[in-house]
Amino acid sequence: MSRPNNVISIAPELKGVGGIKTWARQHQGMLMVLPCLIVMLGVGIFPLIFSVGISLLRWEPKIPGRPFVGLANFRDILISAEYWTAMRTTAIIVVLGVTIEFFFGLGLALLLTEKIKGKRIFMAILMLPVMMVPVVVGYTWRILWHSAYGPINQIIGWFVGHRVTISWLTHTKTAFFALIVTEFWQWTPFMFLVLLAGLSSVNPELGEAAEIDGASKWQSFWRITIPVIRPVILVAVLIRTLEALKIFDIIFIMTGGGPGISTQSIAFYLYRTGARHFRMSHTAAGSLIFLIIVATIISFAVKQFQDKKGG
Amino acid sequence: MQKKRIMKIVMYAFLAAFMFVVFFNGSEKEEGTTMEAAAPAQEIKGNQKERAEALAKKYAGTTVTMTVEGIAAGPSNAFGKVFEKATGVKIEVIELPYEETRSKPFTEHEARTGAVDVYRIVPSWVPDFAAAGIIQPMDDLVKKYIPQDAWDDMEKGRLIATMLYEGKVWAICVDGDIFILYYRADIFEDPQAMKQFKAKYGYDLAPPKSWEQYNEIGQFITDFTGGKVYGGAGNRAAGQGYFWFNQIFLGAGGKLFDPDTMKPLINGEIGRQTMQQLKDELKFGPPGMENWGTAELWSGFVDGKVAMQFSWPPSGRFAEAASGLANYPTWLPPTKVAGKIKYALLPGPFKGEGPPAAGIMGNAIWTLSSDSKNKEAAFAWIMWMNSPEMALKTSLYPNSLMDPYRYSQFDSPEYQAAWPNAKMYLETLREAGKYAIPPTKILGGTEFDEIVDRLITSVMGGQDIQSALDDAAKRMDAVVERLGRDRVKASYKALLELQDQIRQAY
Repeated sequence: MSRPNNVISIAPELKGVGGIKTWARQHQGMLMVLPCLIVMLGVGIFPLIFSVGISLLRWEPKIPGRPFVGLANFRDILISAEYWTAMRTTAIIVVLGVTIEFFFGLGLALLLTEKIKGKRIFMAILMLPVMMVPVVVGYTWRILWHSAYGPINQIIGWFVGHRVTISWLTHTKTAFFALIVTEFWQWTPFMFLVLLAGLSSVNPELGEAAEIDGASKWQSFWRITIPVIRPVILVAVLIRTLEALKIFDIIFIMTGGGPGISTQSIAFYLYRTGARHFRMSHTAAGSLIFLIIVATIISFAVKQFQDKKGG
Repeated sequence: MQKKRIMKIVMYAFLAAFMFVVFFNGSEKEEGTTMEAAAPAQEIKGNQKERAEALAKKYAGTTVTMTVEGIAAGPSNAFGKVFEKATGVKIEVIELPYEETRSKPFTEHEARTGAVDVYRIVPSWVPDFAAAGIIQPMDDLVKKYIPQDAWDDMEKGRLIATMLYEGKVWAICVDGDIFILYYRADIFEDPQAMKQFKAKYGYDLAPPKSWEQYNEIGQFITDFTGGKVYGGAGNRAAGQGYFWFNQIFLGAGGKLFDPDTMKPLINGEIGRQTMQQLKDELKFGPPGMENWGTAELWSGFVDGKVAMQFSWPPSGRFAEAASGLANYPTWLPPTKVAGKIKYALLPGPFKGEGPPAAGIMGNAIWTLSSDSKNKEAAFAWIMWMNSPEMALKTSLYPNSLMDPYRYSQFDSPEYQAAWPNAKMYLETLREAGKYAIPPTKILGGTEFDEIVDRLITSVMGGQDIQSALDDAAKRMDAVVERLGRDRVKASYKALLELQDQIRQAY
């Protein structure tokens, strides 16, 4: 049986299709990942590159044109007292807030690894703040701290025996205190939950063995429990630090960055310069400097941890 | 190797896109200030409202979109439906928080969406919006469609301070906000109080003529009522506190800048006295007043806890809600002061004699987006709401934040009969126009106002007045430098000219 002529004529085409199929088979994994990669580049990498571009221009709608200014915006940020005040404010909130949350979270987690009556109900109540939207938390605590009508002043008034009208949110020190307490209230449960998961994974036999060898409870905790849950601690502290570095909502609602600019975080500063004053290039430069600082700190922290783990 | 090549291609594609967006798409475009061919003026006849309806009918079937602060959206929503029924032009109202009514126009303009036709803003934003090309002047449309009698019906102080900038009409006033004093007549006219006050201070208990008198009266009332009613209160919280600073500072003759050098003058003697005044009021004001915003101020006032306060005209109407105006906001406690409130102009000088002062503060003005695709239809909606008939309706509308700004409103028998003291309220508001002080209507005005806002919270938070003023002056100078000293100077000169025009008008 002779082969029809048309088969011969379409052979190269079939070969081509077969070639694509073969290529596709060979790169199946890459092709499967490609859509996701494009989306990630689109929403993650592109804005970053875009903001690098903006930071090199002078883009401010109130000023005509968008000339290329090189690193001038970065220089402005580096000599901006307000930027570094905001950086210091952020650092204070992060260091104080995360530290307090960590110790209280760890304490609560240790407490609740024991069998306690009503543990489930307690845990459910404890988890409520972390599930609340920060804006709602901000408004709620703003009312709680209110000088004239706030329950906090009222409760203090019961103890001291006269009406108390402390203006918590209008003085720098008390405003900081109020912010950290609010942060603590919302995020300690998160720290507690993560650390509780870590503690639950510790093999109780390790503790029992240490006890038989004569180790005290403190030695057992310090030498066994902490090293075992170190990765969990790192994750919890890192997540909270990253989150706290971006603190915005609570400050926006409770103090508006005031009094003056004393409780203004970096995120709030960037919001003001970007969304209120429309200094797009200045804001982009400020964001990039902040990103570099944060990335350096986090990389250093992770490296420290890995070195210790390795050692 | 293949993977690396694909990654490289993707990265190059993104870099190319980035270069395109930043250097090509981002270049300045010609601002959309041209207007579509308007109907010849002679075809449009009648009063302002009728002309607006006739003009809008030419665009029946189109939709005019506007942004408005959520709390003030009531009249636009309600009367938008009436306008649609009369003209066939649909009004779509986008309700936004106050902050976003400022940021949204910038982002819309950057994206050139043309999705919004009308922006409801405040006068001090006009120079920034104009510089950014977000809004456009409306002189041609005004000349073509607004009848002279309706134009002349607008109170001159408000018209000049809110609608004009650098010799052009950039906005149409729909709200006559001006600061006057609201005081508790039942306390001021109490025979015991009058007798004791005269004996203590040697002059009659009456609305203060200076800030010194304001403090003396405030302290007296707090003491006289045993703290049940506080002598006075005001806004100090971040956000709008600068209105209270501006009222006292500008009213006492303060100037934000040296008009020749643009050197900030806020840290001079008048600035120091103004901050001292804002601080002194805390002595006889309600506890925690350093964190009071407008909601607290009006709540305290209608609740009968505050004897004197100066702010926007809705406070006068809210206080009288029980007297017949069914315009009571849900966010205020029920009024306890209906029938007890009287009105006066605010003091100008700190001490002694001097002309009163009335700050034009945060009025609602409607502006035309330069990106609008329905400019004439949008203008028809603006001029319809600005017409004498609608101005009266909106200022009497339940829960409206739109205050009288037309002589026909001040003279309206309907308005004057709205509550027993309504005539006095309207007369005082009308009189205030003569002493109108324009707001910070200069390039960078929003930043200067924010600096003043932060200055107030700094001092309320315990910072020394002079050092806080010096910090504020430095920040203001930095803004002037950044935006261009000559540009801000020209803008400031235009603002001072507005003040002169108001003086000349009366």
